[in-house]
Amino acid sequence: MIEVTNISKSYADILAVDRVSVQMRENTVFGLIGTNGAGKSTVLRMIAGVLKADEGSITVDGIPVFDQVEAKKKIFFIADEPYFFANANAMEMEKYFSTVYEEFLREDFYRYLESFGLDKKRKINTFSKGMKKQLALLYGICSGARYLLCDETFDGLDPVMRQGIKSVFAKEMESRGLTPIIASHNLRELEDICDHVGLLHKGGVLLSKDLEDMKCNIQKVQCVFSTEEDKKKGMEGVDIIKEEKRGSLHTLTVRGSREEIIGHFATVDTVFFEALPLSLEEIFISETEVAGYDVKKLIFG
Amino acid sequence: MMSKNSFLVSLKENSKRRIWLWIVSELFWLFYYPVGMAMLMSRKMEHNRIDGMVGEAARKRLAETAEAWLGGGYNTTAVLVTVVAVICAIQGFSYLYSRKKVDLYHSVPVKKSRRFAVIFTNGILICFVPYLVNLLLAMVIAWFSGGMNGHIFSKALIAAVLHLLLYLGIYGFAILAVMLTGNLVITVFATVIFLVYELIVRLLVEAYMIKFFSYYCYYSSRDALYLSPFWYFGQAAEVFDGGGLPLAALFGMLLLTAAITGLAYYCYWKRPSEAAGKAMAFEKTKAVVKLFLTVPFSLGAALIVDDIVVSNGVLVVFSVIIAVILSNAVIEVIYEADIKAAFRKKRQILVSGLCTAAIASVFCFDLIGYDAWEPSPEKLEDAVFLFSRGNMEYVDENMKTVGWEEYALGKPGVKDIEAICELSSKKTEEGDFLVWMDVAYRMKNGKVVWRNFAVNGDEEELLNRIIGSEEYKKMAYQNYDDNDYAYIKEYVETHKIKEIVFHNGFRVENLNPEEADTVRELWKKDMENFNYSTLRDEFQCGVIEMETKGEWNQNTYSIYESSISVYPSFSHLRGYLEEKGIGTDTYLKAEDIESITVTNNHTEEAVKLRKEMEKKYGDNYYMIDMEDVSVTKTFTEEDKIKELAEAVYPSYLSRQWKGAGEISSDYYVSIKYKDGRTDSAVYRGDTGASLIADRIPGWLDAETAYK
Repeated sequence: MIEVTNISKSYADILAVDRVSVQMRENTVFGLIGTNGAGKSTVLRMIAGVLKADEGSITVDGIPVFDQVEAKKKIFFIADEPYFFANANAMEMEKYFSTVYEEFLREDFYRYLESFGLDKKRKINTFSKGMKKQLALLYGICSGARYLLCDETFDGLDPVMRQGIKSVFAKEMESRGLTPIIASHNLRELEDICDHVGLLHKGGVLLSKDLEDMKCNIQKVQCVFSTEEDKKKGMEGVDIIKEEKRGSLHTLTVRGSREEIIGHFATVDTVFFEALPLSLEEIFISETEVAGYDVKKLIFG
Repeated sequence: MMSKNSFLVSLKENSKRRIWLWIVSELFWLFYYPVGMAMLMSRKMEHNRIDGMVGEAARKRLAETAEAWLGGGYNTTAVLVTVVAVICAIQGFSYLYSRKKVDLYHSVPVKKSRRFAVIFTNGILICFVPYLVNLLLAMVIAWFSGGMNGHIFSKALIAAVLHLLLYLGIYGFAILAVMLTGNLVITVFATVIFLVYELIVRLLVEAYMIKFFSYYCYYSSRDALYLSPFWYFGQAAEVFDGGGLPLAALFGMLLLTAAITGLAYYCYWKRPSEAAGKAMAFEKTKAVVKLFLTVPFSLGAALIVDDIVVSNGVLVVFSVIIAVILSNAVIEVIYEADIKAAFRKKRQILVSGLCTAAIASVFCFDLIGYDAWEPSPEKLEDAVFLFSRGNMEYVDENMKTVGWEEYALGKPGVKDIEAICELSSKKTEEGDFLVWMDVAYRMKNGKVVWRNFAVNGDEEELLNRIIGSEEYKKMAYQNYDDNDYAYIKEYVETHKIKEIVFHNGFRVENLNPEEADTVRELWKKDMENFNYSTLRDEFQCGVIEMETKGEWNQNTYSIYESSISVYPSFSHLRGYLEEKGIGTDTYLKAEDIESITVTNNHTEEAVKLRKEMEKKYGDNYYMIDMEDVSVTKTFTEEDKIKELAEAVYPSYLSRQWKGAGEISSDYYVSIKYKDGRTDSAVYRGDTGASLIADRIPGWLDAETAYK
């Protein structure tokens, strides 16, 4: 587990990360989302041991990370713009990573390279941006490190590649407990990958929850009540986060499991009733609005 | 089997990314050593063929060339080593300038200490593996050409060790510069600053002392640059050349290198990764660095402006203010890469200005009491006096030429404390005849205080006590010291060609070199009564010059020269010369002279004429040519020749101790002899003469009057 406790980081007079605490459990895909400048990259770079936190602590499986080889062996960091040696090809970079990551899975790497259609002898500087990101992901996956820190790595990958990477993640998570930690400013990019999501804003964590928990514990209900009495009865006894009304159609965001919500509204006489799943975006909007933030501005600008 | 993560594997991986530097270094040394040696040997063999030189002589010529190239060319190689050191340091650690590279290197499981050690070691190998391989190749080429021997081999190895130490020193400074900065341009600038800062500050302080302290002595400036690898390198090379072992210089160089490398490593350890691309890596160093750059710059600007505008106080102060503001602004713009940041740090500008003003005040108002200092008799051990040295040459026990101050400081000083202190209290800058001196006051606590000042030439009694002392004679005249004379004699006797001549400016008479000891003994006896009065009141009769020569390739060259002056009161020496038929009563025999040509320069007339022209034409007056006012006349009459011959004083002889007007500067005299001999036949300097003022014939002025 990666345990981040109360870390802060400033660049000159600018506070980039402000007392962030978050836990990243192994064998899950952790999504770190936030607007540009929210501090995602800084948090990842601190977890990777590139930057030293001004305050707080970061441990990887109980080992402090900064300049600790044993902790860093468990981590592979893919920066937003991954660096490859000048004029190097995939093989040459593999040789380098093999010397620094003792557990590097060379055979797996070349197998993945072939299945992703990347030429091992072609100079990396002739690769497209997306191909470079794929390559960086493959180095990370095959490094033998348990925690794969990806900074905006999925942004710009085409759907086929995303699916490919997802399946590799799934396989590696199952076989050796790989734990990808993915930072992105784009919620939609993470929705189908992440198990747990942390939302950063202005250097601090707004929330950190299991995606499934969030999805299961919040529902969108659209209904038309038969009478005012039914309406009153329907609105009582449930935790309504948000309510909208267009004509006689009520759209409610309600906290609780799908079964609980359907059970509750079954006792009320409605002309029309439907319980819908919320998208990740909608869940975030709801959750953060509760916390007093206008999340649309935070995430969608 | 080698571990995947061993140091050697890391070195190999690092080398792969620095392959171009390996190639550049290899080509660099390949052309410098083997190719250069092949060209040299080929040229020298051709010279041997042309000169018909064979056998030992031919081999010697080749060996001398090989030795100069492999074991002697310290300076040229040092420049190359410096260039390679700076390139290797910057290239090795330049990844710190790039965030992308930092993200990769600092996230992989490699300890910082390991990464530093790998890059550092590789930087040394990149220079020195090609250096040694190509040095060896050059030796092989020299050996095949017949110009190699064990002596050259050992000298080449010593040179290699010195170059390695120099490399490490420069390399350490360049790495430190990388650690403190965040981009290439600033790093190069910082490296240069590191290497020259101590020198610049010292020159600046010296310039201020010269300007503001009346009694500043040049000898008090130290040559030592303790923070410069170049200085230690120069010292070590000098001692090695002299056949010694420069332990102090080597130790100093190692200590400096270790300190700087340690500091560089500490900075590497502390350097924040986010510094990539910034001008300065550490926020806290910004203000300090700025202060250390702007203060010397502003002080230097003040000196330059003062020099240009000839001491206009207001303008100098104004220029300092401008220099302080501008230098602060420029550095801040560089720090922030933002022109709008120029005047943002107003407090720093103020501090910089105050520091500049404070330092300038120390010199302007002599706040340290430099000029007011007087030696305390209780604290003074002795003093070393340096009056003008003339043409004296001093050598150490290895017959290596040393400066007078170095030689004199190695001797016991004058012990007459009362005379020393009294002379110091008589400092003056006014008077017709001033005696200038550099004095090193050696205190009982080991401190040496240098001062340069003049006393009035009338201070005969005090000056006699100093110049007439045994200690002064030993520190000023090396042949006077028996110990020194012994090692000089031992060295001179190993050479065949020796010459001793008496020279009075007109005549050169050969003496028997075998009688050098006799000449020296007689001179020493005469020197017993020698003092300031001798120098001031007597006109030299001539000098006895002793020269030892070496022979090479059918030519001779001077190895060692010394001379002793002959004064009228030196009865023993003059008696000896008289015995050899060398008269010293007069410089010239009137009966040998056919004519004497006198040129009256009419110096006063020239000055008067110039003033008139200035008055008439203002600044646009034309320069007065001395030929416009000088009058030349040749005298052939016997009586006039006799009178003039008694008045001449040869230009060749010293006039250092003569007061203004004692020897007329108006007249220049040249001689034509009856036997047709010309001056150039025995040329040893100026064969012309001046006239002793109180012996100038009364008729001469009228004969050479300006009309």
